[in-house]
Order: sequence, then C-alpha cells, then structure tokens
Amino acid sequence: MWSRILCTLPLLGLAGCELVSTNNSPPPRRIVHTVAYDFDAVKQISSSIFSPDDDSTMLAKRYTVSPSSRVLVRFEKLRKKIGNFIYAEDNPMLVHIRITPETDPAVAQANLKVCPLKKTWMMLATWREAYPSSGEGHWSKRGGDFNPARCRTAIAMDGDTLDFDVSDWAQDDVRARGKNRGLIVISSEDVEIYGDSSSFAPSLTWTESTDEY
Amino acid sequence: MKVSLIPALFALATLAHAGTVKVGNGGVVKVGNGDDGSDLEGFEKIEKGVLVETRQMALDRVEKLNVAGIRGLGDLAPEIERTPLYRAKKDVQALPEDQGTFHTDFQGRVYARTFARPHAATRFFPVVESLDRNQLVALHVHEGLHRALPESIRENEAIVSRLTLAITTPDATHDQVADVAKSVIPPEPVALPAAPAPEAFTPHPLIARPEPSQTGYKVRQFLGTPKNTAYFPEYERIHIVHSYLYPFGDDDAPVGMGLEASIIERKSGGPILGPLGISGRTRLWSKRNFEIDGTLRASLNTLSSDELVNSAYGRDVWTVGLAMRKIFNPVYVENFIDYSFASMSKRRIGNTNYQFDYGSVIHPKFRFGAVLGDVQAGVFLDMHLADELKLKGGDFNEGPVGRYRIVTGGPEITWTIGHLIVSGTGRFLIDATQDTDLSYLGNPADGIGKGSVELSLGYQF
Repeated sequence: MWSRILCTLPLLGLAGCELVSTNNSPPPRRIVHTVAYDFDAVKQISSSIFSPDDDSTMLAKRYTVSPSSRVLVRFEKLRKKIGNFIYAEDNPMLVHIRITPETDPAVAQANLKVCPLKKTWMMLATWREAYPSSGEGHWSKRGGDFNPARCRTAIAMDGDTLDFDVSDWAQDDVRARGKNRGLIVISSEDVEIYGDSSSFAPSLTWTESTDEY
Repeated sequence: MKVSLIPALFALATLAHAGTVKVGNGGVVKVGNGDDGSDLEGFEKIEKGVLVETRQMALDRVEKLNVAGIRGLGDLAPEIERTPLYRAKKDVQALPEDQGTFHTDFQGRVYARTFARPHAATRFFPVVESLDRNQLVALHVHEGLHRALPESIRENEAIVSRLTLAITTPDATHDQVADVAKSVIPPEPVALPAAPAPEAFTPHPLIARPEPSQTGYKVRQFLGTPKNTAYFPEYERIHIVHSYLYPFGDDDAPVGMGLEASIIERKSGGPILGPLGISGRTRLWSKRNFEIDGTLRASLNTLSSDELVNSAYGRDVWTVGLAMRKIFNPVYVENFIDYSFASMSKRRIGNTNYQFDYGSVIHPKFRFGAVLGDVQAGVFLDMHLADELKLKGGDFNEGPVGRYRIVTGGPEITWTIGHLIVSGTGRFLIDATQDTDLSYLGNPADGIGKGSVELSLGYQF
C-alpha cells in the first residue's frame, strides 16, 4: 500500500496534517542504463621484460599480446560499482578491446581471449611474479595464473573493437565471492591492442538499473 | 732525702684529691686508688722474701691456668711478674675505693695498693704480713688484675674480686676462669673498617661530559643492491649534517634537541633531499660512570610523491629510544633499545595509488669495545624486528612480507681529540628474513641494501 502524508498549512484556524492513503500511486519507474568504464589498472607482462616498473609495460598507447606477452586488466573497486548490475543474457557485462589498424581482425577474433585471473596482482607485476615479494607473489605458472576453461573468446566484433562476455566472472567472482583479481588478455598469435593511454583504452560495460519515483 | 722516680710518681699521685690530679694543660687523670700519700715515707723496694715468693706462686698459678688464652686476661701474667714491689713502713686506713675483700682487714687497714694502669708498682703495707701465702697469692693476682684488665673495668672492684676468686680457687680450671671472664669482661668493640668514602664521581674523560652538545657531519656509503629494487631503488650514499644542543637541564641531566638534514646521492639521477631529523634528547641519569639517555626522534620525508617516483621510501618515522652507556677502563659497554611506530608511504604506479604500510619496529643494539686512551674501538650488533610490510592499492591488498628481522653488525672506532670526535663504522648485513634487507625499513637514514660504511666528524661543546 502506498501512502503519503498530506499536510495542510494552518490558515486562520484551519490546520492539521492528515495521513492520506494513496493506493492508487503509480509504481516507481525502473530505468536501465549502460555504464562504461576504462580499466584502472592495465599492465603488460612479458617473458622478455624483467623490470617490474619498466615504462613500456604501463600507461602505454599500445600493447602486444602474444604467447610470450600478455596484458593484465582490472577495474578497481568493481564490487562496489556493480551493485545494481543486472545479469541477463541480453544485458551481459562486456570487456571491449580495440585492435590497432596493423592487426588482422580475423587473427585477433580467432586468437584473443579474456580470462579471469586466479591470483591478485599489482602494477609491478612481471612474467614471473604477480607482485614483488619473498615468494608469495610469484605466479604459480609463469605468465599468469588462470583457468583456460574460463577464458572467453570474442562474442562480437564491432569495427575494430572486440567484445568479450565476462558476466559469469562478474557474478561468480566479483559479486558472489567479493574477489576482484582482474582479467588477463592472452593470444596464441601476435595481436596489437590499444593501451590505457590511448583514446581506445580497454573498457568494461554493463547494464544496471535504478528506480525513479 | 733522695727521691727516686717511682716514689716521685707516687708523691705526684697523692698530692691530688681522691681520684684526680691536674696534669699538663688542665687535663685530668685519675691515678689509681687515690690516697693521701701518708704511706710514702720510708717505703722500700722488695726484692726478696715472702712477697717475692708468693708473687712467683701467683705467676705460676696463672700460667698453669693459661689465663693468657682468655680474652681480657692476656696481660695478667706479665703484670704480676713485672710489677715493682714496695713495702710501706706504716699501715694506712682504707679509703672509700678500698672497700673490698682483698684490700683491707677487718680493721680497715689496707693490705696493698696499685694504680689501675699497666706497669704500675704495687705497694704493700705492714698489715700484709698477717696474710698467709695463699692470701698473698690472691693479693698479687688481685692487684695484677687492676692493672691488666681492660680500662673500662679495671677499677670495678666487684669484677676484679670475682676474677680473683675464680683464679685462686683451689680447684680452678681454665674453662671455669674463662666462663667467669666471659661473663664479666665486656666484649671488645669491633674495629670496623672505615666505611669507604662515597665514591667520588670522577668521570671518564670520554663520558659524563659537561659538554654534551655536538655538531657534525657524516657520510655513509651504502653497500650492495637492495633485494627488491621494484620497491626500493638503489642509492649511492647519504650525507648528513647534525646539530644536537642541550641548553636545558644541568651537567648531570642535560636536556636538548637535535636536528639532522641529509642529501642522498642516487645511482642514476641527481641528488635528492633525504629525511629531515628532529629529536628531543635528555640525559636521564649520569652517575658512577653510567649514562642513560632518552630520545624521541622524528625522521620526516621531505619529498613529494612526484619526486619519490618508483620508491617505497618516504615515510615519516617516529622513534622513542633509550641508551645505557658505561665507560670504564679498559672497556665500554652500551645498550640501546628503540621503538619505531608504524607508518606508511604512498606511491603512484600507473594509474593506481599504492600505500606501503610499515609495521612497528623494535630495535635492540649492543656495543662493546676497548678504551685505549682517547680511542674507543669495538664492535656492535643490532637487530630490527619489524611487523609486516603490507602493500595496498585499489583491490590489491597483499604482502610483501610478514614479520621480518634484519640483523647487522660490524666494527667501529672513535678517536677523541679534545673537542673533536672522529669515528668510523662498518655495518654489514648478517642475517635477514628471506629476501629482505635494510631497505625494508623504509627509511634511508636507517639503512639501505646490505649495509654501509660511515665516516663521521663531530665537534663537541
């Protein structure tokens, strides 16, 4: 039952507030909209780069993804951000990665994959370790810890942008378990993608709803 | 009339009122029994006869009883043996002090007198001839006791009589005499060794300086590459100038403050400003060649995040400390204990702001060495025991290390030339938790990498 209180201002003796029951008030209007965020943390790890803070591995315009070079991405504080995320087949959470003009779109679509990571990492990650430490920070497998079975290929290609559905990861890891370890972009062939310092940085979109009264 | 020395002494004594005579500068000396001296006319020395024989008998008796081994009676035998014997020609009547079994007959005539002091003569009066040999032996012993006993009791007639009876009793034994002597002769006051004078505080010239203020410069060359250059960049050396002033307090407990400024030379890139040190210092105690100092120190980061690129240094460190020091030839010993509070530093990597959370650190240190004139040479050993170093930024919140330890040690030498102090120190990493080193303390002033060698120059005033 909807209720609202209607108060009448006192006017020369006329006064009072009266509770008015309004069973006939319309329900709130649900507004569905898509949000888009660039990834906060983007880090390249490569078997040929050993320095954790090598300038070429972060804040770059382009990254090469290959069997010996991968890109880590994470949207920080994602769990708080996706509070109103609506999961539905027609409203997936998508990762958008744009390839450079020099890259063969067919090769990219066939080889690029996005995989949920099993170990957290930071911006000093390397091919050997997720973060510098006395051993705890090492990847159990060089190049990043992920389950190949959970990797996703592109579901669509819009021009030079590949879309990857990561709804399962958002639901199971981020929302249900509260674990945001980020994603890793891998490829079995050389593919060049735009980096976080470009206008086409890797991004994340999802649909969420709000109620309007 | 010829007056010999001994009669003259008797004459001197008898001129006094009973008991006293003024001597010299007004001091008063009690002279034996005190009498009117009427017996002094015509006394003669006794060299043979019954009195000499009974004296020998008395001597034999005390020697047989071994009274020499009894406390307080050690001088009895010599006094009996050596006392000169004199015979007066006329009897005298007893004085109040003469009351006693051994001194007078029933008519009050005195048998004998002696002065209650060692080596005095014994005078016998004609009535003594009425005594038998045993009684004469007792008389010799009695008079001898007046001279031999401790001064505090030698004129106590009751004590002297009791001892006389104990010695002259026919079945007397050594133990019986000893028991009586123990009961009547007071214990000798124990001569305690003089209490040592309060230790005069003569400070070693190297400590307890009335001039604790100091200003100086030191240069510290870092050794080795930090294990984790991703967090802790490699620095070449640090230059530190310091000034410690103690304007308050007193010589034993000065109170003051200190300032330290530093410049760091990097392996690559130009020099940067190092931490700024501010400290409050006080000498808590300074006695018996001990010094105890207390300090509160702040090592403050002077660089912005932009200037501290690629570095986990840059935290403010607050430390309280206590130092206990003793220097005494030929060694010095010093114990330190410091506690640094937890703090953090920030660093931006890529688009993410990271925070390094350093836990608290307990830092005990021990110094030991030899003092060779103006030179101190020794070694030190210390340990930094730190809570975990945690790193967080965004959704990352992990390690890199839990509780860790860093143990260092090395040689040191200090040379004091008047007000000038020159010192050199080598500090080397001895042991550390896996993959940690001095850089994990997060403060270049505390150390970097595997250690350092340092040269310091100071002026004390």
